[in-house]
Amino acid sequence: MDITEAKTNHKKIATYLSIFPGAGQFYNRQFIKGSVFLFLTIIFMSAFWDIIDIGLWGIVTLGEIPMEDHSIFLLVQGIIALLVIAIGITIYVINLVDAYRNGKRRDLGFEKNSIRQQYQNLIDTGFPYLMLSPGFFLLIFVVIFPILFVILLSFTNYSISNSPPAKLVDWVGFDNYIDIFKMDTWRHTFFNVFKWTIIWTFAATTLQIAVGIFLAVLVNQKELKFKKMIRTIFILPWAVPAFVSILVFAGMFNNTFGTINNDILAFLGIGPISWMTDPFWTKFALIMIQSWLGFPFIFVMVTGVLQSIPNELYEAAQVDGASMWQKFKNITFPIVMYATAPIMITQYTFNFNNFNVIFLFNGGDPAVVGQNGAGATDILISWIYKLTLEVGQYGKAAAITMMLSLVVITVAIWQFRRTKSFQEEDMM
Amino acid sequence: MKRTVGQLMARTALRVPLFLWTVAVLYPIFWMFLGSFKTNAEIYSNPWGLPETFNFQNYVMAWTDYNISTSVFNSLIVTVLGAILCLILAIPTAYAIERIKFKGSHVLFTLYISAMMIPMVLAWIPLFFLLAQLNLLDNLVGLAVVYALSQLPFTIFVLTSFISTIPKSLEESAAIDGMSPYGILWKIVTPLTMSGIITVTIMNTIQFWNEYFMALIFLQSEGNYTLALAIDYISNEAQYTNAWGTLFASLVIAIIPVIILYAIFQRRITKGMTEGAIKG
Repeated sequence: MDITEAKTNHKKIATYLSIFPGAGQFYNRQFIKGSVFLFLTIIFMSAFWDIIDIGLWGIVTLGEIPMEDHSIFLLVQGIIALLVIAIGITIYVINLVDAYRNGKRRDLGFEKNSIRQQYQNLIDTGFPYLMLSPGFFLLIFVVIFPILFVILLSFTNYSISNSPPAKLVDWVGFDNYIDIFKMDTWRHTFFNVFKWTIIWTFAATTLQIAVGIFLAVLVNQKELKFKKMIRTIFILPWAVPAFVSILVFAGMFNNTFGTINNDILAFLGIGPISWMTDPFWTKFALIMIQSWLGFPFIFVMVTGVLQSIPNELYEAAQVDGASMWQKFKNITFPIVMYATAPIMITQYTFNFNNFNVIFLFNGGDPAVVGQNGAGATDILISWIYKLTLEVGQYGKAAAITMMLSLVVITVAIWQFRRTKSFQEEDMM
Repeated sequence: MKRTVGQLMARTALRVPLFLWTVAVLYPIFWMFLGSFKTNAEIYSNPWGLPETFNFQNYVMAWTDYNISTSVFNSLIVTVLGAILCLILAIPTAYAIERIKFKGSHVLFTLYISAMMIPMVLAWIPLFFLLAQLNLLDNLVGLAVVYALSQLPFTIFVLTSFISTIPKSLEESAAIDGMSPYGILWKIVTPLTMSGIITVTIMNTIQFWNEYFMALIFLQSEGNYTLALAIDYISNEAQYTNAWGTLFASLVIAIIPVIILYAIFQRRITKGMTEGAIKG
């Protein structure tokens, strides 16, 4: 064995040869594999050369001639080029590693695999990758691509007044971020919207969680009749499409013909409230609607947890003379919270970005004078939407999106770690 | 005697919120149903009375004049296509992540979980340009692909937890009998995961059927409108044409399939939802 080791250095030679894809595999006498790599390389080069060429030029310059070069499509092509290059590099590295490995096998004096074995090998070790790649490949375009796009867009001066094809878009560095904090109207709007986003998130989510837990505990009482029916009714808001219920609510809260003003408040002897035009009451209505929309999920989940709490706990508390409230506070609530805390947090992040309710109920209105594109009830995400699709401040919107993502990602990472430590505790 | 009175009061006190909330839940739904049978005059003058005659005029109007029929068909295409595509992509991935320990399987799972936390809203504008680039804008197939991918991480997440409950010995003995991994996935794992597949597909289906904003951004011509878009269109019109009855009628049309699905699969849906949620 010593002799072979001294004599051959196939792994090095094969790796170096594979700098030209496939050559190392040929050297290792794996002709089929070598041809596959070679073939892939040729295909890759011929199919993507233009995309890479134009894309890289486009992403650097964002176009040079107005009316002819469309900066934004060049940006898209540039990102696609970057992704294609990343895939190409991955294949290339696999090619090098493969040459090295098989060279090493030869150095160690193993027989080379027969074609049949090679095929079997490829099928077996390749199995997970083959299974994963279609989904993963598409996911790149739906997740990675948008992230890159938004990041890059936030460094451009793309807006409706400076938009292709008439004009070219340019890289402007951190200008968008600086503007948001330095220019008065932007800063003012940003902080107002941000403040309401936070209030909205905490008020709406906490209320929907409280309602969900409260009702789940009530329905779970032993001597209550018609449990099944009540549970079915309580799940209804979940079954009705959100856009439908929000539109119905918009009708119900309508200032003139809405049933809330005309029937309920009139019945209680309260004068009509301008739900759609008074910022305070719009916000109030939104929080109420969200508790209606959001409680069933909490309700179902908490019901599941409640049914798993052993009865002995309550019986023991009964013996000790605990009141109903004490039982809830010391037994029910801690157990429910322990089991569902991670989900509760996702409810907060969900409402932080709960575009549907805000936008469909009243479109973020009533309007506020002196705010850049944001109404009184706009949260960050709906403001971004308006900045993009209504006001056409694409660059600024992207910069705000980045700031919003920062918040969401921070919470997500924090929550993910918590969940993990939760699961580890469970294991013990 | 006093104690029983106290108990009675406590009992009623606990039932009052239940009763009130039941009313709060049913109120908007009844309001909509009643409204869908009424003429405009009735909606304004007598919102709570039963309609004088149950006229289906609103439904006819919605179905023909406002093209709800086309939209129902469009929604159906997008929903079915999206759900199937999502499964085709998710089942193999979930199996590979859950059962085969390969380099990067953990990283990949984490990646999919994090993808689940990124709000789709951020992707809307970039995807608009991407679809424009690929000539898939205003295209039902393009929308179905985006739908499928938007639910992919969640679907994978749910399916992995279902696959993890299948005993490994089944796959091992099949492998000893010389079955290929592809055969194992297709002939053993997939049938055994069927209940998970059904659960997650129902949830995806409802999600796609109800989706509104991506359709709003990615579809343009009226002939391609999904149900949600068509209804939003009527809702915007209603402010000028006062076609409130028609609006209510089309809302009812949109709800009915979902309610039927819920009625049939309610236990499965709530179970799948809570299981996935509590485990996650």
